[in-house]
Amino acid sequence: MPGFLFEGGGYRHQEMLELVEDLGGSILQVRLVGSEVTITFSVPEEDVGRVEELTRDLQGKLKRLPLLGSEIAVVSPTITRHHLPHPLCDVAEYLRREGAKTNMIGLARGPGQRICQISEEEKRLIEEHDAAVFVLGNFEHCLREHKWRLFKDLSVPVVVAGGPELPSLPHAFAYLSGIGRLPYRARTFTEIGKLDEVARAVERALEEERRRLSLDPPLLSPLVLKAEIERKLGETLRGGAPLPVTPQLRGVRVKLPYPEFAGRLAELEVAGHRLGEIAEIRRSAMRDYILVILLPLSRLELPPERLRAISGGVKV
Amino acid sequence: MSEKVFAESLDPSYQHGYGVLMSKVIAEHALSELGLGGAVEEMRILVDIRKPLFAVRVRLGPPLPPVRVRDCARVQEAPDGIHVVLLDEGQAPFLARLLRERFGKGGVEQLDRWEVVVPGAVGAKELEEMVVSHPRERMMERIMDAVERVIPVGFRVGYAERGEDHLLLIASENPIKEGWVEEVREALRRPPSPVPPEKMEGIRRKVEAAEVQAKFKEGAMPWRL
Repeated sequence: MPGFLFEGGGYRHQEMLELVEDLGGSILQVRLVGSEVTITFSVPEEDVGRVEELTRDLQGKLKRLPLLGSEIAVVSPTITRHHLPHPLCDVAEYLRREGAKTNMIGLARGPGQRICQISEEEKRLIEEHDAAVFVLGNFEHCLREHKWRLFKDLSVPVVVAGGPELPSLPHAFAYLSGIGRLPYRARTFTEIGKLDEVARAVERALEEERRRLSLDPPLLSPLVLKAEIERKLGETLRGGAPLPVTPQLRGVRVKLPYPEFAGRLAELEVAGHRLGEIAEIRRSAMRDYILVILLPLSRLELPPERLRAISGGVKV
Repeated sequence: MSEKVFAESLDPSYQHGYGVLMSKVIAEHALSELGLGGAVEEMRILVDIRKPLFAVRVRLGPPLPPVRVRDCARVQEAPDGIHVVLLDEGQAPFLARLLRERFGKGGVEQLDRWEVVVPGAVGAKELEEMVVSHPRERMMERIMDAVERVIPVGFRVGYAERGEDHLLLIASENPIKEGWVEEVREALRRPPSPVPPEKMEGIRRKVEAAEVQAKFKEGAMPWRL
């Protein structure tokens, strides 16, 4: 289901919320500030026309968010001023504007050539995301001969951004030149165009993942799971963390302490089943959060009539 | 204005590579952000990324004279001591440190934000000639900051040389080998070779003329972004 951002007046914004629910879509976020409202949601592709019609009627604005529902890791080899804030923060901000939830990760021992390395914990942290964007440096020899070691073992698609022009990099889904070590913020059309190339590459990587998932999809969409968890577990809304239930392609990240809430999450009833039966609930490497990874239909022990009822799976 | 920053590769096969050219851009930004345009006469960057080796030699501009009390404050003798009235607030911490070191904490009485009184143990003339700060020392901190911004993070093994009017830093991620220092010195004896303008064209940021996009393209829905 494609994602959208609606911006308009607070008056009559309830009509948009009701329409999205009636069409079987999911509402991710509603922000009402003064008399302006911003709604992030997704609806089935075939119903986008109805949403556009209502937007026109409400005189609001509608923007497509191709990366909505994904969590992306933006990885820097260091946390020193050489790579931060420019250009990593620009990359992360642009991906957020396209709908993704981004986490910035600085490697402890990423710099250097022979000495660069990534630890198991850092790999585990990056693999909790749907894709990773590595923003590296300016030297061709360094990128080609050494830096691929940082991401060669990762199981998520890796988009690499660097300075020099190279056709590709081993073990990377895509390589984009022109964004390496930069001492300034992206302001010109050319520079923002480069950021857009990164977003398009991430979009292609996620499309491939979605296609792979659609071959053996989970019982329900992560966006639906997010709504259910927020409805039934009130602590998620009182926690104070931004986006307390973060949707990913394969499940959700719940920003609550694992020891206290893992058991309660497992017992939650979702789509007629215990969540513990249809998803793997495990501790995240990020603080003490909880990862809920929806199991594909082939791994669920469902009776044949139930499988027939939901045959064709759910579009992720 | 003449060029101050030169970036060259010690490896002839990588002359004018992207990384070498961007080192020049990064160095120029660093000098501009830290306000070192006047203090630095020349900065030469030598790169051999395969070794790996990164060398930066900064030639300093004419030395600035030390700042004395008479340059930043007015000194007046009075029956209760010597009144020192601060005129340049930028020198306040250095002047305060000097007076504290000379007269002790208890010896300095602060009347208000600008004026202090010190005992008349020294004469006003002698007090006026005391050195408050050495701008060259403070400048060196900023120059080191600029050099560290240019050198890649992973190049932690360093060889430093400081002269009257220059600073040389050679960095690598491996131990600095026997002949590298001499190789760098040899390269620095040759005059710097400026980068051809057409090479820098593709690297420098271009500020395009403002593109005024039509708010609504023909036939487009005004409500769709």
